Amino acid sequence: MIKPILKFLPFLIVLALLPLMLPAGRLGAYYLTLLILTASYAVAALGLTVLLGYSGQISLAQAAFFGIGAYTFAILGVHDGVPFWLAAIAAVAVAAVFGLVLGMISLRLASHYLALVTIGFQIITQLVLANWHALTGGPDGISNIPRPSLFGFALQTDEQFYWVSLAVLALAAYVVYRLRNSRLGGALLALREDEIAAAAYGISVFRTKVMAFSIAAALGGLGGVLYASGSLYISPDVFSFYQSVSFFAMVLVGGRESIVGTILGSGLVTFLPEVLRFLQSYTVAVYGLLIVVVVLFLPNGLYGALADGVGFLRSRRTAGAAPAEQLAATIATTAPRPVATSETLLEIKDLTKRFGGVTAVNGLNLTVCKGDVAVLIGPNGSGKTTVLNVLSGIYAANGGGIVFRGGTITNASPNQVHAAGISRTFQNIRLFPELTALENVVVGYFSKGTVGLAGTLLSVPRGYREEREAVAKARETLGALGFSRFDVRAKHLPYGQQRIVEIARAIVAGPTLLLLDEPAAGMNHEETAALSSILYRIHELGLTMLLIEHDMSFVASVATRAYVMDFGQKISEGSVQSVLADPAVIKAYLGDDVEYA
Amino acid sequence: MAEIIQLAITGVALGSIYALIAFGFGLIYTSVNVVNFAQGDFAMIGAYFMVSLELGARLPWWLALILAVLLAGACGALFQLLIYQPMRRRPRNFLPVMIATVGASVFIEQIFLVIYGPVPFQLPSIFKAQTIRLGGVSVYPQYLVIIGATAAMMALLRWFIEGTKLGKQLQATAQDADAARLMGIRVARMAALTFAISTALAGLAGLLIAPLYTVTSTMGTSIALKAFAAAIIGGFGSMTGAILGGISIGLIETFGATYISGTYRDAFPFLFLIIFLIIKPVGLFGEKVSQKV
Amino acid sequence: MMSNMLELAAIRSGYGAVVALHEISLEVRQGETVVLLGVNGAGKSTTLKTISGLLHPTRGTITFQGERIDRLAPETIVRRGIAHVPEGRRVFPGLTVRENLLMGTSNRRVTRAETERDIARVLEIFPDLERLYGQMGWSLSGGQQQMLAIGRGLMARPVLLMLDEPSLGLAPVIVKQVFRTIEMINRQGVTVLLVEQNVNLGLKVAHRAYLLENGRIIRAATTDALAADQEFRRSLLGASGHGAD
Repeated sequence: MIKPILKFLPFLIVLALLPLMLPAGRLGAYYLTLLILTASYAVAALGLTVLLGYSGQISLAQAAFFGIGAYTFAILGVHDGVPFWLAAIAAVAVAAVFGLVLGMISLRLASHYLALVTIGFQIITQLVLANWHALTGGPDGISNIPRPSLFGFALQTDEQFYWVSLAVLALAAYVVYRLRNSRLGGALLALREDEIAAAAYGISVFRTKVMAFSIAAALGGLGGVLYASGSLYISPDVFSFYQSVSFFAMVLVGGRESIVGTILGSGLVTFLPEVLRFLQSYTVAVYGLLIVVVVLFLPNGLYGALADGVGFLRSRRTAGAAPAEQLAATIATTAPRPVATSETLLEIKDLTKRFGGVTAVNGLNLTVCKGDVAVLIGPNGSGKTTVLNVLSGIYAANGGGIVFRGGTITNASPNQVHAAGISRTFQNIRLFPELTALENVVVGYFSKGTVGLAGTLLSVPRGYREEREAVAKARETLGALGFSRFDVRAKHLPYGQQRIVEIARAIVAGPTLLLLDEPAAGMNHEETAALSSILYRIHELGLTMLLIEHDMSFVASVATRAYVMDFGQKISEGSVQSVLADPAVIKAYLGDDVEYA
Repeated sequence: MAEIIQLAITGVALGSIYALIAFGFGLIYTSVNVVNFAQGDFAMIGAYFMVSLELGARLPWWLALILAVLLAGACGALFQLLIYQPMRRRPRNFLPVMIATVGASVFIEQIFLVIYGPVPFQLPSIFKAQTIRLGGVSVYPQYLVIIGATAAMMALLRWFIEGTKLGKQLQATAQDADAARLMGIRVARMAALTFAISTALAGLAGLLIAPLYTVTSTMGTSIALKAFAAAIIGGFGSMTGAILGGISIGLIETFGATYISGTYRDAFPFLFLIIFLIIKPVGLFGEKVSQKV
Repeated sequence: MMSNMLELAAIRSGYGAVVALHEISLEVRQGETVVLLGVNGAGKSTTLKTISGLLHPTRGTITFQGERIDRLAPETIVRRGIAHVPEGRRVFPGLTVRENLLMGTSNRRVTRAETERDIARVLEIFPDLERLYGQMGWSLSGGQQQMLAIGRGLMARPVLLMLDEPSLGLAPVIVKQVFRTIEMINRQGVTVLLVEQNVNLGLKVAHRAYLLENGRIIRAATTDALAADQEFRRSLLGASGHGAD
């Protein structure tokens, strides 16, 4: 808890001193109200940082949650005389519940549907606020909204209220910061980057998204409370679709992944009309243009562009110092390789998978014993990758069964397959490109964690312990594979190293069976040789493996048993040497010696 | 009974407007995988062009109509050049393009507000008569104009897409852009054409509905949102779906506003959509959402 | 001596960070059939994609009929006379057989009569397609799709036809038919560049072959020479490849 506070302290001090720097008189007072406004907007925008920036979900209803928070607070505080802080907490809770419900009914939808449902919710909310006279006062709104007091000390002036807002903003920022750096934050980012890969490492797509949605709604509601209390008066027109677009703009302009960026973006968007006043009626147009320009040219926002620039300079400076890494050259492979047992680990019986009229896998039978490095080979289009995808729960089988360690896992979800102890890598490497190598591997450890949202936000010690453990485990696993460029983003790693990171991510949680889909594809000789020794090493650690591979010399060097597929069926099995000598296999690879002319 | 028929005609007319825009949404979505949130603004653009050409330049209504629709389409082609083309090759561009269209929408509305001013314009109906009587039911003739023009436009489009080589090239590009390029189909032009057709449809919708309301810079927003709901209900990319979706939204809005609550008129389509999506999350005609591994 | 129709000089190409071709140089002469051989992932398909413009080389030059084409878009390259029948057939699933064939003429201006004549010519080569004329692309079997894809390539009236694994997933009887067709097309004067996993067929139909491994050409020879070389066949399975060196 100390580190983030120290990190953001200078920024906070500057913000806290802002009111003292304002000009005197009416202009200063006006600027102060804008600052209060900015703080309330920034809290709501931080909610979008979580939803849009971290989990990658689009919502155009943030102003609705802002409004729900503001109105709940105002109705409780003004009409029912509920004390300030109690009304505020209730307002946040009500907004969160709305967010939870909206999330649950809409998150199964693809993103464009989701966007529309949120717009629908936004429009309905605004209509209700404007027309339910008895509760909301209709278009007249609600006035005389109270300001808080603390320990009997009334905080009534704008200046005092600004500091209250700042404290709330700091709290919101801490919540978002804590979330980002927790196990759940890793899950959110993983979802944004690649849902299929995230699910393959035990992250529940639905639950994680709903969580992001309710956090966003709760922060929207909290911002609404600040807004209502700061303005002392609310009316429905503030909580419009346009305000939702504005929140969007704040997050995008600042940098959708950055807390500081979002706060700066909120300030910028709020103060922009003042700066652009000379443009008069073009102000809003420039606003729209700004969104377009930022999206087109600065995908990470202003703050992101700044950070990228600094990072680029820094990496330029250190690039010369770090020599190109020799992959895994130092891995010792002197220990004897474990011998395959006769104990059945995985049994595939009569597996069939059809896509439309095409039968990709046609009654496949296959047994992998504990301790095997089994390899599935066969010509292009023979159904190997489909087998792996059915095995890991991505596709449902049309027939047959899969038994793993005595339990049936036929058509289990990717989550369940992962929980059973099967982990995998993907043919076209599915790392989370914007996450660092280390973060990628930490996500692989997700299923080992136990601390939920409440524990994370309350900063329970166990959460920190688990996070440290995950990081230590990730470092250890990467280290064991001879990899040390922990803090490089996955998308910046060379191809061969991406493979290593993906393998580390797959084994960090200690699975029983590892599925590898063409691990050597696209690698050069040196990388392939390094990969062989890495697989030796993993084998020594006691993992059973099933891999698909085309590079026969690589196969010959690692596999203990080979299965050959053609046209969705197994045509041969045995040692690598024996299957490669099998006439049926040679025919499958080289083709019939047909006369056609 | 007469009232119900009257309302039904109103609902179908309104639904035709939604159908025109909904089909445009679907065209763009299926060909370039973009959701264009500025679609409604082209309805507004069509209406304003009609104002300038018919009331300003005093052109005959039919010429003004054709020119306004063509100009709206030209604006759409320009729009895709500035918004979509720069991001065409960026990986995972779905969300950024969608957000850029939201920004562009704000920009376009404001520019037209500045050009035409805040005072709403009134477009005359093509037929001067206030109402005509059809077997005991009195009908506002503009409704019939809307229904007729929509039917004609849809028939024309169906012929273009199904019956011409260019239409087939458009379909081929939507189905497999790389294969289309290997055939020699200029996919950038196809994208421009797709946007031009969709925005021309929206322009037509805007100038058809304008006599019923007033022409303002924000007139397209709520129409487009309901059209989007129609597109989701009908399924993206299918003409029949767009028409069915549009008409059901139009009927729900009209009957809901009359028999349940006029104040919540705009809420009914969205309530219907949300309920619809809970029951059937993939749209009426289903859409493949599976991701390729 | 035949002149070089297509020439690749020190081409490097790939997908994003992945370099799939390192310094590939090869040439195809007017009137030849050339086959690219090698295991999966050796870079055969990448070579075709780089020639047809779907990928742009990061280094090297590609010259076709004396003009550089390595910076051109696929839409333009097919207008110069190179038709690429891609891996996986890629017929348009929502268009009928006839419409798919029609799309093949998108590289030039054609009259209706000319189109009909070209379609008739394709149907003569693949009579099966006539029966399927009004069916949608997605409803065809793999073999039918392959015939359609080749037919669609021919509709472009190419001078160089590039085929990526035309035998993939086809029944042996259809494979024979396809290869007879390739030979016939070649005799009619169309130069052919072929990627083929069925080595025996590839060696039979082609005049010359290039063997690719790990994005490099490791051998170039006439098909007669390769057919006689038993060690070569073994090496194609890869078991005696770089693992032994």
